[in-house]
Amino acid sequence: MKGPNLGEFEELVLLAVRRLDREATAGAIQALMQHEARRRATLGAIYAALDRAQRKGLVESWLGEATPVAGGRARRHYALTHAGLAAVRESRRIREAMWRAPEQTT
Amino acid sequence: MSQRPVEIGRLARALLRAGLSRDALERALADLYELHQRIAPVRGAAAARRACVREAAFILLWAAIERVRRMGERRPIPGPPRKATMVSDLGRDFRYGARALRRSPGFTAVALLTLALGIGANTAIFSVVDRVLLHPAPYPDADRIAVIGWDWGGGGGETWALSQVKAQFWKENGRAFRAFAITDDAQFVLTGEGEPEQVAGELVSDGYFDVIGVTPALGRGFAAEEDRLGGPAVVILTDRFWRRAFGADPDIVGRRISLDRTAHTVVGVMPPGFHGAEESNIDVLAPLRLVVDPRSQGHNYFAFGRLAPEVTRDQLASDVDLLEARFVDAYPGVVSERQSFRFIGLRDLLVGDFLRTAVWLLFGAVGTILLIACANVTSLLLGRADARRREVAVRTALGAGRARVVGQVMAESLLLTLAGGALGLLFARVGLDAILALAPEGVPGLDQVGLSVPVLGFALAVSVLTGVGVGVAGALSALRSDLGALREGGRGQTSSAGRIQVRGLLIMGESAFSVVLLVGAGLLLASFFRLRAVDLGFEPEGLFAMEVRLPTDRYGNTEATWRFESQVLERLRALPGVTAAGSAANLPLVRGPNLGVTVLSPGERQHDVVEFRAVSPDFLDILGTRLVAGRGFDQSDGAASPPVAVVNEAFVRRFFTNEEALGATISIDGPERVVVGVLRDVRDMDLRRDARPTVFAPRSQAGDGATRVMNDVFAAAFAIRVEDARGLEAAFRRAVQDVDPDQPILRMRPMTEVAMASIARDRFNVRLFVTFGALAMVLTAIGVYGVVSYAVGLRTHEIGLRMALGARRGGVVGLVVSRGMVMVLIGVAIGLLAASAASRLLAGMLFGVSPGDPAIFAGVACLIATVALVASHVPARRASRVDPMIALRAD
Repeated sequence: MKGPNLGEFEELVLLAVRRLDREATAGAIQALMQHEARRRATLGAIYAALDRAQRKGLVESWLGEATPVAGGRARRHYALTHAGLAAVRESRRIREAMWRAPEQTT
Repeated sequence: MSQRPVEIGRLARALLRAGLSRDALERALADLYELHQRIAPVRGAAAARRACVREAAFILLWAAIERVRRMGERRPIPGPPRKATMVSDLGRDFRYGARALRRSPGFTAVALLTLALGIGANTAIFSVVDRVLLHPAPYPDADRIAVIGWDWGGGGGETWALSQVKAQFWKENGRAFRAFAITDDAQFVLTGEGEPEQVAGELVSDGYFDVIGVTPALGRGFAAEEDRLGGPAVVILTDRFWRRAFGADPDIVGRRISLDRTAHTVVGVMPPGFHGAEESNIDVLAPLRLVVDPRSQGHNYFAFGRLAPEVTRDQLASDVDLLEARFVDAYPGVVSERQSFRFIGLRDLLVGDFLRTAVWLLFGAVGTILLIACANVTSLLLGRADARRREVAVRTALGAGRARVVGQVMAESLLLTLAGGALGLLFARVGLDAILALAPEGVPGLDQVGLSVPVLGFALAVSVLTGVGVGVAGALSALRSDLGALREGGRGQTSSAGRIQVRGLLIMGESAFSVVLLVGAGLLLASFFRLRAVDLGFEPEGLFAMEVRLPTDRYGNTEATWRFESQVLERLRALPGVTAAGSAANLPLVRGPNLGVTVLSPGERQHDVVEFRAVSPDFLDILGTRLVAGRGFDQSDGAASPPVAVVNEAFVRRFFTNEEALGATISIDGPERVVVGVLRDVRDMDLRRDARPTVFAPRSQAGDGATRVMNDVFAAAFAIRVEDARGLEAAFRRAVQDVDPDQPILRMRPMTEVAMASIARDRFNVRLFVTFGALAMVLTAIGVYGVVSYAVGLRTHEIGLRMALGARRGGVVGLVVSRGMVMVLIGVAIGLLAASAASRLLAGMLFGVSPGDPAIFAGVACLIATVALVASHVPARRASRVDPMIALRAD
């Protein structure tokens, strides 16, 4: 998939996955977004974004171990793929390029 | 602290269960529990529960949104769904087929190779058919060009050339033609561009470019005043010669080049692909400037025209009759009663019956090979279908329709044949190079043969047709698979037995086709050996031939020509290892001049046109010809002595009874001659034809006019008897150039090669037919081996049982072999019948062999039977070595 156009929300989710490294679960992503971006996101929206990213090959997921916090269930963990990492980097490059001082843009 | 599931709330769980897949539900529940654990200690259990319900609602909402979105992605436009499905099915079938073929490399390799051989051979021969048969004359509307010739009557054959008078008469009176032209071939010596070089020329009358419909690519054609005696010396170059001798100089037009030591101005260059109208491999065109000499009777002028738009073949025929009557009136005494004008299409003339038959037969032969290859591949596919019966049965049971199963099989066979076709193109390329290397000289258009667009189209069409044909057979077989194959260990004996029958039929067909091909190859081979054994009337062994074209500016009369030849002969005879050397106006088995002869005595005057050969006194001795009566020439028969002639037996048969011939007086090239000897017939030009009436005369006594014509049109030849010519060629060349430094050598070769060149087409046919016959035989052997192996595999159990019950090994071998051989023998019988019909097509190409030669038919039948016996014996012996215990356990 060449140059996937990341939506703003999708980008925040992927950045959260990156920051949380291999500890990224939907709940952890939700908490991080609340804390860092002051953004209230429902789990449903996060799931939708993660599922879409997974279909595009930007993230991969696996079931972790069953834990007491999850009521004895296994939570699904997420991590960026190479393509996912490339996508957020590209998105950052575009922002930085756009933020350069006016005389440097030519 | 409660960890019971109830804590996220019944409502939330109920909601999620209603709307999520199992995986999504598990994920949501785990995350909701975690959320609950995070909130409850801070804000209380009730708040946590509310938060969970709210999240659950959003999860459902988002899941629904996503589902709708994805439905939209999957079917963005509500197009015709059936078609889309078929296309995607096709893609899937091809992908699946490719995987299946990759999984069984052995099967794929054998099938690919077989198909590539079949398709490659067909493509190679088709490219020859396309060029040589379908487009031999590279002129627009070539089928509107007709050639006028002369029928000698009384079995003397036809000549597609006219005398000066006849050619000019047609040019002036041929009303059926829009344009008419006369050509003659000529040789020039190019000097001033390095070594002196022999240049092949075509002398053309005005109207030439209108007839062929091709004009020079550079410069212009000849102007009318350039075709008159005394007109400016001008030439037009062929593209090939322009590139070879002048490096495709773009400023060539207007340049002066030296031909026969005369400066000629280049006025044009013909487009690529043009090689001359009659002869191929022409280097230059020059104006003919025909001045008709009514006494000249040599039929050396090619006369042809482009038909006027509305003229039909029948109209041309009646025009030919009309002009013949007028010609007889205009020139009384020239035409005898049996003789007449003839016409033929240029294309038919260039190709000729022999070549046309040969190429079509080759095409038939490779077509047969393709059929055999298809039979083998079908047989392989059937075997594979058996191995996959369970798979097909499972697919059918799971709801795959018949169309899906057929599509699958078709996709696989198409993949095979398309890949086979691609590989076949490689084979065709290699095969074509071999064919071109072996091909005899003078096949029109052969140098243009290549893998052109029509040829690639043909290869593609053959590949697809083969794929469909083979696929249909495989699909029919696959459809017969029944659910019985699903039963554990189900052998489906009835179905396999049916398939053995199908494969038996395939073997039968292969054997029949092989017999037809091999009978053809056998007949041609036998004919070729007979041709080679033909008594030439002379001994080519130990003779070396050297040919030169003597330009008429220096060698325009008998004295200069004979002085040159005798000086060269003197030098040749002085060379070590040379025992004798002679010269002649042309080599035997090479086209020579014909002249009008009048027999003056005894009896009443008789007139006809006969072959004329001017030779050095010892030439006939050196050739090893045999005298029937009288004497040959000797050194006393010089320019000053009374003119003499030796005639051949055919001449005697034509004009005299044997006793009268010696001492007869004839007039052929001017002087009256006395016949002093009668020679045994020497084969001329065509080994298949009996010798034509021929007069031999000493070179030194030939008339100046005849010498000029001979030097103009034919290559003078030296025949050198020598122990071993190796290393002497430079000395031969020096012998010529010591006498005339500007005289190039046309050709040097052993006389045996001259003899072989006259049967080059036969040799070519034989080689190809024998190659194809052998290929057919190998493919058939592979087919028989495959089918018998397969049958043995299926019957391992039965064979084990028989062995366990005490059957002897020989009995088992016999049992297995006999089943296969029955089909082969039936096939051989059918093949013999078909061959007896098909071999009649070969009749025109055979020499000394009857198309129904029983020895060849019997030999081929035995050969195929033996090969099949060996091929089926191998798996049969393997079967007989089966350990009964293992066989009985076999599935």
